[in-house]
Amino acid sequence: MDIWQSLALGFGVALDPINLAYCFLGVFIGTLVGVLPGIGPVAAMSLLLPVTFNITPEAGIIMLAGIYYGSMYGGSTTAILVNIPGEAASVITTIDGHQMARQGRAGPALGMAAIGSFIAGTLAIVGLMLLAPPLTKLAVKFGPVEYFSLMVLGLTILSYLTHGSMLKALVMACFGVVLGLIGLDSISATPRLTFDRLELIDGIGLVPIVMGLFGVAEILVNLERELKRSIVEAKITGLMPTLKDWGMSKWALARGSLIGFFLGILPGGGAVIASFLSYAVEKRISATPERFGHGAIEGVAGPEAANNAAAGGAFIPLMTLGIPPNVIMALLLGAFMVHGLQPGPLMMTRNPEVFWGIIASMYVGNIMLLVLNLPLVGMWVQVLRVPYRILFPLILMFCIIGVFSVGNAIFDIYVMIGFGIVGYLMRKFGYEGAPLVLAFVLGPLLENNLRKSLILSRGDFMTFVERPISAACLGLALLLLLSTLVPWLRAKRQKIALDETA
Amino acid sequence: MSALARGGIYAAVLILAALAGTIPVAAQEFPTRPVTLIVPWPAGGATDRHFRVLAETTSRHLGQPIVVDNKPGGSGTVGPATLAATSKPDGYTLAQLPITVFRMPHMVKVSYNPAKDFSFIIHVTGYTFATMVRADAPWKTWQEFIAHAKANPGKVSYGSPGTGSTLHVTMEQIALQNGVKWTHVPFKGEGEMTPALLGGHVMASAGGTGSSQLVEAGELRYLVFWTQDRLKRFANVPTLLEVGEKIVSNSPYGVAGPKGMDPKIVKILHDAFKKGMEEPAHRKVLDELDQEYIYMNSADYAAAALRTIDEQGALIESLGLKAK
Amino acid sequence: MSGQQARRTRLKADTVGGLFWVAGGLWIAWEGRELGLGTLRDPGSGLILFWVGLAMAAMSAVTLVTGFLARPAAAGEWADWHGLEWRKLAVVLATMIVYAGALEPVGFIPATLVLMAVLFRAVEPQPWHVVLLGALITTTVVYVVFKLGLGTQLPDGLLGAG
Repeated sequence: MDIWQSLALGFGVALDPINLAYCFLGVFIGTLVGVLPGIGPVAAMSLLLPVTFNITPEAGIIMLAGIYYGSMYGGSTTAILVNIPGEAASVITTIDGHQMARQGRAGPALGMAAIGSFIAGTLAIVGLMLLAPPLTKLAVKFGPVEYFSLMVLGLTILSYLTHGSMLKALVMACFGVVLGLIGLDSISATPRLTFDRLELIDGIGLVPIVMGLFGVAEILVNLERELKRSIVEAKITGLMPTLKDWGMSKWALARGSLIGFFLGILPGGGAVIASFLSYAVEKRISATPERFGHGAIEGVAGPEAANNAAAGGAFIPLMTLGIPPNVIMALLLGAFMVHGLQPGPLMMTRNPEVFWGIIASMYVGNIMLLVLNLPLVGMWVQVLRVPYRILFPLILMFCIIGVFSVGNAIFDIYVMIGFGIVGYLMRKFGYEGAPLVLAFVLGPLLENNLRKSLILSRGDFMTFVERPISAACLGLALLLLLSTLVPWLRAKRQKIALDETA
Repeated sequence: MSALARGGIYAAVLILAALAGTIPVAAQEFPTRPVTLIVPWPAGGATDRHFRVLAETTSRHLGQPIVVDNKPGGSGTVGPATLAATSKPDGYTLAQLPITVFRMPHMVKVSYNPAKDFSFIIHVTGYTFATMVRADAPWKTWQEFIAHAKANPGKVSYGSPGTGSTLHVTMEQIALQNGVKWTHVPFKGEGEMTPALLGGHVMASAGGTGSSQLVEAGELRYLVFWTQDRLKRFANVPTLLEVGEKIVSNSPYGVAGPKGMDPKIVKILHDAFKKGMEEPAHRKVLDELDQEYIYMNSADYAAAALRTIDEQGALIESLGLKAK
Repeated sequence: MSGQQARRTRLKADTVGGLFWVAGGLWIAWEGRELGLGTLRDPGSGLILFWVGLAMAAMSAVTLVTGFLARPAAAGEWADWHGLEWRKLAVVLATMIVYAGALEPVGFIPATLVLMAVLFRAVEPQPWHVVLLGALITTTVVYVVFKLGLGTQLPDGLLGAG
């Protein structure tokens, strides 16, 4: 069966009216939970999983998949409008997206996020369709050694995430690593920093931390000054990105899609890491890096493309190996199994209608999302005019219920409140949250893979440079580090020289 | 029926009962309202799927709905610990007890006493585990694999989904019995472990039946199952017992309530669960998950639990994982 | 704000922050040591914690020192300690903590009604009809979306326990 026949079969399934309806329901719910802070795709999909028991497998999985990639569209909306990430992969979008909104350019930011998501989402599906088998082969080449080096490369981008004090950013990164290491150490089964609380055995969740640091803290800071007025005072100009915006963003979209797609395939942080990496890359190669943090549209386009492409890439290991690379895909695996379907290398031949139906539905779903989201831009912009005294109780409410619904745990609400206070103090003392979140995701992966690598190599560090993929990652990290350090040192020296002559 | 409508009906029933002055307290009236079953895993996993079916089949015989409440955390111990600490022993709140409930107290400080804080109701099943290698590995059988490991101490590496997991503990038990030394590489769950086996980063892995399709597709090979009997789906793969290891390892689990439950209520619940377990729908889901039907009544389960606690303590100590 | 004043605020803030992280870093390093460092070739559970803690302390010590030496230039960006409204913050935080504690025993609907009413009224007093209507509408919408729509296991509390 060639690819066109397969696709025709797939669209036959996807365009079935009932499946279309479930697809729309999925992307609609996805957009909704993406927009609402706190509740994310994990909570929504696990809540709705039982609903799919009673419908056909295609319809159920099409709907659940729709929730996932739909939430990636919605997450940026909250980030741009109220400086609170709708879900974890939108943390980085708050930096430049919200600045754009403050300058009255919420429309172009939202438009760019929606269209960028569409482009990246579609590219990722094409990649999923054409490149799944070879990419699977590449992905399994990543063992503990390769992951370690990739994570080192990831950490070197920390320096691009900050626009304040570098030292403070590093302190926050250390704090993030420490938070990430809380819980039962999976190598030696020793509890670390758990204070004998069973709730901490599995570690602290990403969602309560992000919602505390970015959601509750943002509200606390605003409570001091913005109650009487609405968020944006500047005149709102234009609803769609201009030609100039497109010119600046087109390569950011392409690079973001690539980065996201590839990182999505690998187990671990996926969309979160991809969005951070894309932002760092854009800032690094930009001719005007000083605009980042002050409303650079590439800083919205790149990461938004990356997190949507990552959502597409994540399907590859599930569909070709039956291995879920993240929690969301594990849920989807559960949905397959409920219907007696086992995703894996044989699914393409045993259940072609399911395999291709899902892929085709993702094309359809992405178009639906675009049609759904573009007209909403105008409506969302109006949210900015709502006085904050009405808005903030609603946001707080959604944060609390969203965080609770992830694990039905009151404990998570306390964690969120605690990090709300931490985040508030951090802002007051000039510390930034983004390095903390990145280090929280990367730190434990780095530690865990380092130790696994050393177990496997029996303590031989040469393993990191002997293996080609690992060596390449480490080399790239070193280059990046030098390329940041050298100009920084040079500038320092010049500054010192100036001070002396002055 | 929606939750709202259900709530309304219960409220109405309660008001009627109150008016008639006959609010039921006696055990023979049990149950008069829905029973909550705490599943200490996230929704969508294999155990959640199993218990949602069991809850449904059992409620037919109990005469009241059984509501699944997912309380994940602490490797499956937060849910039972919450039950032990906060629930009344009235039979309206129950929990799944995974084996970690008996193992964790030996490794970390916990808030409950596994021997004393639960009323054991019924034992249901266990997970199915196996040792597997890549299909192109030189070892066709378990005996060849063990012989190779014996000849090359420390050089054979295997993955498991975490230190202290049943899979790790059993592999080390096998090593002790055979005088083998191999290298354990703990992964974070099977989603990380299986790609590492496929990519040749570890030589073998100990896991569940989630990789069955990779076996059918000729990517992986099961060397041995750890079950009592051979699996219907892989009838040509022997069990540990058959290859002479004298081990059955299945991470058994059942249902329990808080301590101090009225024996009459325990009996009502046990009988309903027993009938629920025998329903074809429940048998079918166990087959799909490749899990065995391992029934034990309340007394046997309680005795087995006490044994398990001691066995786990000894194992954890021998592996050097005991809490300091 | 004059340069002198800004400088003084910044000094104070950075000193407090720096001291906190130095102490925190040292504590984490100590915890790491307790957990066992292992060797570089076979890292123990505490090795990374130990070094990360030390790095944190060292870097915060540097910010402490540079805080004293720094020029006041960048201070205005963040060091806004004037006109703090402690009362509002305390009310919001206390309300959330009480809400989290009450959610399971009292149940979602009554607890949320009270939470929303307090947030609408106590922080920046709204007219009573806005408060009541706002609390009622949001509670209903959240209940419908989360409980009936998504099937979230919201606690029933008093209403369900019977």
